[in-house]
Amino acid sequence: MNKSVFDVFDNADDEMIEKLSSFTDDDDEVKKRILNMSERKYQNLKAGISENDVKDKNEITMSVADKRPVRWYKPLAAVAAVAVIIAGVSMITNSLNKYTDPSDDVLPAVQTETDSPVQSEAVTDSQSSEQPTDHTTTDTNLPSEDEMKELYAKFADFYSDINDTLISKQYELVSDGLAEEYKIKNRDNYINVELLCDNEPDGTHLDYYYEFNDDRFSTLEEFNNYYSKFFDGTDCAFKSGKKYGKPDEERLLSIDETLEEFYKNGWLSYLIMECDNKLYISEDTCFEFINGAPDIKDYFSEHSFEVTENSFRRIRLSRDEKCIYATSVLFNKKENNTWEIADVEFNGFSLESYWELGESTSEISDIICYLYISPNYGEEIMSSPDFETDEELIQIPEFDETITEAKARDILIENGLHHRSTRLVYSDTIPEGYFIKTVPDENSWVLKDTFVDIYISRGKKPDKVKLPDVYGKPEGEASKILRDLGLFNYKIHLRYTEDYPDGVVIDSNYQANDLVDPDTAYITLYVSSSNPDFKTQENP
Amino acid sequence: MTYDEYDRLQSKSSEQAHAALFDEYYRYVKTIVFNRLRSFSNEDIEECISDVFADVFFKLSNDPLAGDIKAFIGTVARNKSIDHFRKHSKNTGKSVSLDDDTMPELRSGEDITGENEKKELRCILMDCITSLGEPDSSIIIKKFYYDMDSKQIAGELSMKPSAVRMRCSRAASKLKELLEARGFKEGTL
Repeated sequence: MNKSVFDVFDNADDEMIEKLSSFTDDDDEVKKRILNMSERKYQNLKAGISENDVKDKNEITMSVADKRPVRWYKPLAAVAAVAVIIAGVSMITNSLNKYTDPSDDVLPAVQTETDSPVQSEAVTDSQSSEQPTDHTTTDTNLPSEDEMKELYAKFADFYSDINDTLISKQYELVSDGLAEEYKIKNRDNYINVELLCDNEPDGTHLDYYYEFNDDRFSTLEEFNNYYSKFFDGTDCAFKSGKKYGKPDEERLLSIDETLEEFYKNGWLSYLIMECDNKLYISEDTCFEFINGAPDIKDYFSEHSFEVTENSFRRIRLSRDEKCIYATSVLFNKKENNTWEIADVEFNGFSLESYWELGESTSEISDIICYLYISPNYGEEIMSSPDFETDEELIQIPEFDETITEAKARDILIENGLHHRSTRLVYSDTIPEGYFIKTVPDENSWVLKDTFVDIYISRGKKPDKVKLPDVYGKPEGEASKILRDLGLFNYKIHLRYTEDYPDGVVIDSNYQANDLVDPDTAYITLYVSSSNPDFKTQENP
Repeated sequence: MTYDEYDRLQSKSSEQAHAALFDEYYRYVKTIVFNRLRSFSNEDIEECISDVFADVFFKLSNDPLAGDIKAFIGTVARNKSIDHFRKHSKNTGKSVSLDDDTMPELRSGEDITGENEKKELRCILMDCITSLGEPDSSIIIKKFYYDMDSKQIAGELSMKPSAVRMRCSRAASKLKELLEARGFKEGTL
């Protein structure tokens, strides 16, 4: 999808702004910061201090904590970033020159990411060097290079095995019987698991699952047992998902818990699930692996970083025809002195083959971090928080088309919603004054106290509309009057004047009482502005 | 919120009135500012939003407002966005072309056909996005228009980033089909 298509939204009219505004928000921290900035500027305005005065003063006196980055910061940061990129590129290039076949010339000339390891020393060459590279330390409590290498190798075995399993398409559509029981429907080549879930805004949770068809394991327990062999007998548990509306909470899928129960308890998608002694895998999981997992066993370099007594990060570099991949694994030592995989991060560097959505591939950690070693599998289920109904979400009721605006407003309020505005639109089928629809739509799930627009019929569209007198009215009011008449082809031009307050209509290319065709008339409203920049606007 | 409601709050506490106004119109102002300064940094956009509210607070504290408070805020937001655009363009040495799509207010308004076409495309695009249903329409707008990454979107929608990417990929394909069916040229998608 080409992002430039969305440029068409630039300089949108009021109606489109309304629609777009429902898609934006910021977290409370950002809003608080902006409100504080506004208050500070307001106080300055009250005191008669201009913004320039404030800026001049702040250059000298403002504390570091309050200060926005000064102008020299950006070039400096850019230089630093370039330095890091060069270091990263040098390291990768050196590594390749040193460890790969010189005849192989597919390495991209320039790399575009900076998250690669920047040290160029003490790398372990998987192809030519069997000698471990020790870390330059005398602390004997630190894990040795051998130990770290062995741990990563186990991870790599596990990773490769599960990768092979997932991409080998050893799964197939679920049977009809199961589909009926769990309301699972066939749709094209997917299984469509559609379950009612009170905690989703749209009332349903939709996911796609494939059935595993693998002789090695048929239950979640067998699956975990199978993969635990990669970790010296410790369990390999698969986390199940996060609770809707509470992204920090997560828990495991209980072996005796059905998919339906799990969803109804408000938990979101998970990777592997078991139903009726069969295993299913989510499409999310397959997608991640199929679309970008590198073959990390065929690598050309690896190295440990941030090595402490209780943790270390090890990065392995591998490559294919188009990309260099850095698979970074964070190992933490547990209380019983065994190691667990705390995080896996995966970056692909390429000039051409960014992923489909054009963003970093590092988020594969969201998938891989679910695969971790946990000896407390059972305890974690027991200690998981009980389900709590999320009362903040309510459903927009269904309206009868024979109700009026006043009744629709009452129904919204009765249901814990607010009425934001009423839109009058033409309709060939619904008589004037009666309800057409709401935005957001009826039956959709929204947060309590959401503002809802009501659309009311203006009756059939007339051939001609008599223009009202909007001179002297504020821009917003004039716009609303035009929109309410079904006149959407209008445009606002600012024009400098000292004779009127800012923001009122002072002229137009049509006169009041003109009869216009709502489909073809293009109305320009000239709105007053005290900004001298608009002195040069031409007259209508 | 009406001006009278705001005035009543202000008579009790200015800060309370400001916070209430800010809460109610933040999204509206941000959308207007972002719509005009989309190519600018987040920092610039936040700066502009804070200017808008400071100006609104100041004007409302001095003169009672006769008209619609939302329309008034919208006008201030539009004017401030234009000011910021000009200021930033001057600072960066960029000149503003009168034909520049990012500054239609400076144009003569004669390109009625082009504007109508753009308006129509806008409506088609929004219709198609809305028809995807939630949460896909939100994901598409946040991803491609507000330029948020999957992690940010996931945080706002309480989903996993991987699920966001999956839905986004699927929704983008569907959107492409819908737009092509509505006459968008294949090469532009």
